[in-house]
Formats: sequence, structure tokens, C-alpha cells
Amino acid sequence: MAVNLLPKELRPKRYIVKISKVLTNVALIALLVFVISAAVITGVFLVVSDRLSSSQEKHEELTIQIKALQETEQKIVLIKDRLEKVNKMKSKASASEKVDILGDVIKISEGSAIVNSATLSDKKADVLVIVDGSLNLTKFLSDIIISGGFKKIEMLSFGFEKDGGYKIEFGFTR
Amino acid sequence: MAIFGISKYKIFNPNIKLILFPTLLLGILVVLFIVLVQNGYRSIATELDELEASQKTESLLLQKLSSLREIDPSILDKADVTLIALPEGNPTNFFLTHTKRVGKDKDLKFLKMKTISMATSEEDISASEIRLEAEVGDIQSFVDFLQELRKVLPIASIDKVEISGGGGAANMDATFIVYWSDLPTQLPPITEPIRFLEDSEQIILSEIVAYTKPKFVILDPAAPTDRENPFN
Repeated sequence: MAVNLLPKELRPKRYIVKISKVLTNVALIALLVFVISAAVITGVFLVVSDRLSSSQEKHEELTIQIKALQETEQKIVLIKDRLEKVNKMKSKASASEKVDILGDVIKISEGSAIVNSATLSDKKADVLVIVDGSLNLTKFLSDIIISGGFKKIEMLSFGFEKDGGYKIEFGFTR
Repeated sequence: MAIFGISKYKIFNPNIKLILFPTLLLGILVVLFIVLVQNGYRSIATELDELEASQKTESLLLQKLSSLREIDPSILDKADVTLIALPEGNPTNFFLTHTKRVGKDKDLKFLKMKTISMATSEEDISASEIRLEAEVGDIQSFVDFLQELRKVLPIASIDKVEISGGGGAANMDATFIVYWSDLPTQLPPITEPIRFLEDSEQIILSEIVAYTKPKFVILDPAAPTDRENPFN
């Protein structure tokens, strides 16, 4: 039987011994949690770092491959740039499409009228026609309307000369 | 004797000694745990952000690479045509060559040709005005002339036309506008996706490919010849 020779006042109290044991156990568990947490954090960090470096390597590899196709990219950028600008120019209103209106009026007037003069602008085509008689005038007007090729026809002026016949100026819009 | 006002007896009290070590250990561990979690979380979060950004870039690069590989080579071959359609420099001379060629075909007699540089509403497109005065037997020839000039490269637009004198000799006063523009100087950022041609641009491309191009004369380099002695 062991004999405790410590004087009674130097002996720890019983509840203190119990608290100490609990604290020691808690500290050990905390140490374990700390070690496991440190291991998990280090592990996650290493895995993420590894994935990051492999992604960056792939990134560099892809950059090299894209740079090898730089000529293709240059051409497509050039084509796109030119076509965007050509599209801008073409979409602007001009007298270009009014040329067809004049061509159509000349075709329609064959046999009934003579196109004497024309002014083509970005808005409309003004055409002056000379018709020798009322029968031809009727034919010309009906042919123009039947053609259905014009959105709007304005009669800008109407004149008659005994020697020249009818002089009518139309404004055509398509 | 007292240490920090506490008697030696109290510090070395067996009760205190018994709980001091586990309490200190626990305290140190808690502090270390907080430091570990804070730093670890920060480092991992930074790495994860970088990884996410890198993966995003990687997918953009992959997309760009596959887009570049998918581009139809026949479209790339048309780069020269687009450059002729809208050249880098003033194309007035090319356009005048076309007008002379087409005018000759339609029996036009040019009375006056004048070019005037002009300002455009578009910052990146320059323009020049060409004024032509011509005469021919009938108005239809002018119509044919103008229709043909709409289908030539470099592209020009007809600004205004005045035709007079039907029935006999007809006169025309027409104003054309030719355009040019600087070439793009830099490629878009490497991660920017390739912008493919829109439908309207595809239509324009197929149209202008069929247009009449100016004839370029390419002089092949000649081999050096022997110089004759002029005094013989």
C-alpha cells in the first residue's frame, strides 16, 4: 500500500484533479483536431495548387497553339473589319439603286414615251418624259402603274406644247 | 516574496499547477487553430480564385482554338477580295480605270473628270468624290454604264446623277464616292472569342466576290542582260 507523504495542504483538491483530467483530455482532443485540420488544409492547398499549375501549363500550351494560327486570325479580323465597313457604306442611302428605277422607266416607256432627262438622288428618281399624244400618255401611265415596281409615283410637273407634245416629270420611289 | 503581486505560495499552489499545463496547452492550441484556419482559408480561397480564373481562360482559349480550326479556308481566301473592295489607300485611280473601261464598252465620251476629297460621317472611313461628265447617243447607255459600275471593286456609291437630252445625244453629270480605310492594327485579346461573319456580311462577301476587280499588272523580275558597248 502506497503511502502519500505529502503534507495535506500541498495535496491538490479532488475536484481540481478531475478538472485537470478533463482539461488534459480536451487539450489532447484539440491537439488531434489541430493536427488533422493542418493536414487537411495542407492537403487541400497542395491539391488546388497542383490543379492550378496544371491548368496554367495547359493555358500556355493553348496560347502557343493559338499563336500558331495567328495568320488565320489576322485574315478573319481583316475580313470582318472590311465587311463591317462595306456593310456600313452599302446601307447608306445613295442614288445607286435609283439607276434601276430609271432603267425600268425607260423599258416601260418604249413605244409610248421618250425619257428626256432624269435626276437620280438618294431619295428618289425624277424622270421627265415626253409623250406625243394623249393615247400614248394613257398607255404610258397605265403601263407604269401595272408594272407595280414603284412604291410611290409623284407627278411633279405637267406641260403641253403643240409641237413637242406632253412633258411630264415624275418622281419615282421604290 | 510575491511575483506580480501574487504570493509565491499561490503560484506554486498544487491546485493551480495541476490545471496550468492543460489550460495553457488548450489556449495555445486554440490560438494556433485560429491562425491556421484563417491563413489556410485565405490561401486556399486565393488559389481557388486563381484556379477558377485559369479554368475560365482555359475554356475560352479552347473555344477560340476550336473556332480557329473550324474556319472555312475558302472564306480566308477571300481576304484579298475584301481588301480590294475597301482598300487601305485612296482607290480613285482604280475606280477611274473601271469608268474608262466600262465607258469605252458603252461608247461614252468623257468630257470632264474631277476628284475632290471629302469628309465622311464615319470616323474610320475616308472618302473621295469623283465627278464625271460624259455624253453618249442614248440614255440607256448611261443606265448600263451606271449599273455596271455598281459591280466593280473597289466599291463606290453613286451620289447623284443628272441626265439630259433624251432622243438624241445625251449628257450625264454623275458624282461617285469611293471609300478607303486604315487596316486594323492589332489583334483582339487572345481570350476574346472569334467573331464570325454575320448573315448580312456573308451575303455581301458572296456578292463582292463576283464583282469586277481592277486588273493588276505584275512585272516579273527580269534576268540581268549583258550590257552592249555603245562605242562598238
